[in-house]
Amino acid sequence: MNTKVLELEGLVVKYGSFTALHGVDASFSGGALGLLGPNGAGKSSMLRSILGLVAPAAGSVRVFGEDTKAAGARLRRKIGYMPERDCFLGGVSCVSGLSHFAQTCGFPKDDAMLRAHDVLHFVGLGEERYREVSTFSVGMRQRYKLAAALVHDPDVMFLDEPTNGLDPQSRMRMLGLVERVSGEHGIHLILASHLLPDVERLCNEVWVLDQGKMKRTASMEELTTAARGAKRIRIDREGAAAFTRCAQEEGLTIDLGRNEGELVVTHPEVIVEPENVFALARKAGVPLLGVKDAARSLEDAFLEALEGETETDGETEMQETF
Amino acid sequence: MAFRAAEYERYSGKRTSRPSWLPIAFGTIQRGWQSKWVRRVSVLSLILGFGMMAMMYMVNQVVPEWRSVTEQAAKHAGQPAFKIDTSYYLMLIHFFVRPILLPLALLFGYDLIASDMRTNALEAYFSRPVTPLGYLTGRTLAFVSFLMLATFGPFFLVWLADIATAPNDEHFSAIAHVPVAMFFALLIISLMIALMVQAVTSLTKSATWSNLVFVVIFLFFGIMGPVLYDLTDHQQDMMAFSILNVTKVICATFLGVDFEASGEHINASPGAAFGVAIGVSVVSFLIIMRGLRKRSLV
Repeated sequence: MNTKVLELEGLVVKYGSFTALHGVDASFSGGALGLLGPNGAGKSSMLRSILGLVAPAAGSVRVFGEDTKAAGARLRRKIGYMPERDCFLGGVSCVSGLSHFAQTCGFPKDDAMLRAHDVLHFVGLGEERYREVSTFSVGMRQRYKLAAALVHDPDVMFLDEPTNGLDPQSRMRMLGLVERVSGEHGIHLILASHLLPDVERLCNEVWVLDQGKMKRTASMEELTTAARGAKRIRIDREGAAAFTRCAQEEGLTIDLGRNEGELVVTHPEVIVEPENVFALARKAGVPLLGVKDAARSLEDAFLEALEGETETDGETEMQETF
Repeated sequence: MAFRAAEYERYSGKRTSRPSWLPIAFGTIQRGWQSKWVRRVSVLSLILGFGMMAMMYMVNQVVPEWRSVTEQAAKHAGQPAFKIDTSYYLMLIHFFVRPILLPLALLFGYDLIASDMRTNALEAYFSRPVTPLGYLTGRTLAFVSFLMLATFGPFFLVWLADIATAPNDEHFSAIAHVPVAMFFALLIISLMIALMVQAVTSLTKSATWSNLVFVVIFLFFGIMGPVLYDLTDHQQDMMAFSILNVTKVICATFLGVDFEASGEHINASPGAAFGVAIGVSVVSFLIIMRGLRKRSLV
């Protein structure tokens, strides 16, 4: 039997009178899952409720087929959690703190210390392992948190905004580390982020959350290739009407693109080839400024999933972010 | 030099099934020992115990009849006879409880939970197989162990010296129960104080503030008993609002010292003292658990 990594049934999370998650139902079979959503969408609340750090007001959470209420402490041995905010033991060296955390997960003392050294080398903090975490820079703290999530060798990792506050170089390095752990060692990954390129690079499945509700669950392939076969063209404003008329005569559909002067050409049954577009342009007598595949980016898919909520502040914020 | 490849590897060793509070307890002891003042007070206490032990042994070597000599000398001077009995041990334990146990509790515990709140270490613990009860058990076990080491340790050394130099079996049988009685009395006192200190540190992230609150509590508990005693027309049980009197009565009860016989009247009854000790422990436990549960569910 293939056990699912994560199953949520009617999950409701409340903070006083504020409802952070409204009856979320979803399941994740394995690999790398991206939790997407604007700030305040409920991503962190979902991770924290799965870990048992927040009590669900209703519904259930199962990790590897076991209910987190019944088997919470035992299940957490299999989970590595990298929280968004800093989280470390004060007054001890980085390696001692990690070794201590590994021991709380059942590692023998010597193995725990060896393991702490190993993961710190892996994340690139080998030379800094005897320093206190409070003296670390932002990038080093992020890498320390990844090491802390890995030190007890989990089967699934929850990463909450792992690239927050990192410069582009450090961000690429962090993504590379996560990619290696997830891809080469079979550790399942659940990544909460509002940085779509991070999710697009690492994940094979995406859940889109907004205002505590599940807007969409789909595989990355499904999301980004839904419009495969379509072409995105750039054309000057004067020629757009003539091109549209010619295209419609040929049975093609023309939609406005997201950018000015951009049209998306699709056919309900066949793949639109570049030659077809060039022929249409010649027929309409208008010059083409550019032609490219109209396969959607994750950003397009994300914004589409949020459609209907476009008047909200959260959506505006997301558009500004990207 | 050993070369270590910077590559991630899955763990292939065997995990132990020991409870998660055990490493927390060991970690807490290590953390406490890092404090210069905790080390100084603990070592000083043990040195005192060794010193008294050595002194007793040396006096016994030089003047083997020193017990009867001191009794005679006190008699001639018109003083109450000096005798090493349970009352002497009650006095001795107060010598360790007041100047050592209380300051050590403050030095060891003033920042125990507050520091974990400041660095969000609680989130790191509770996202692992550590429950709030396990966390509290580990911290309290270490805390109580430290307090017991600094009080019961030297006390036991003195008792050993007394037994080793005992003039007869009668003396031995009179004080044979002392270590067991003192162990349980100090255990109750240490547990109460450890929980109370942790309750204060779980209320605020600021170590300075929690330190101040703790001092105020002790002053309050020290002054409150005598004040209420006077206000209520000398109701003795009001003395139970003084933590220091509570510790004294608990020790006396376990040792079997009769305050009436020794002429000490202004003390809480054993029932009131134990009631306050249990009440303080339970309320402190509930405050800590409430604070920890805010940060965790299970």
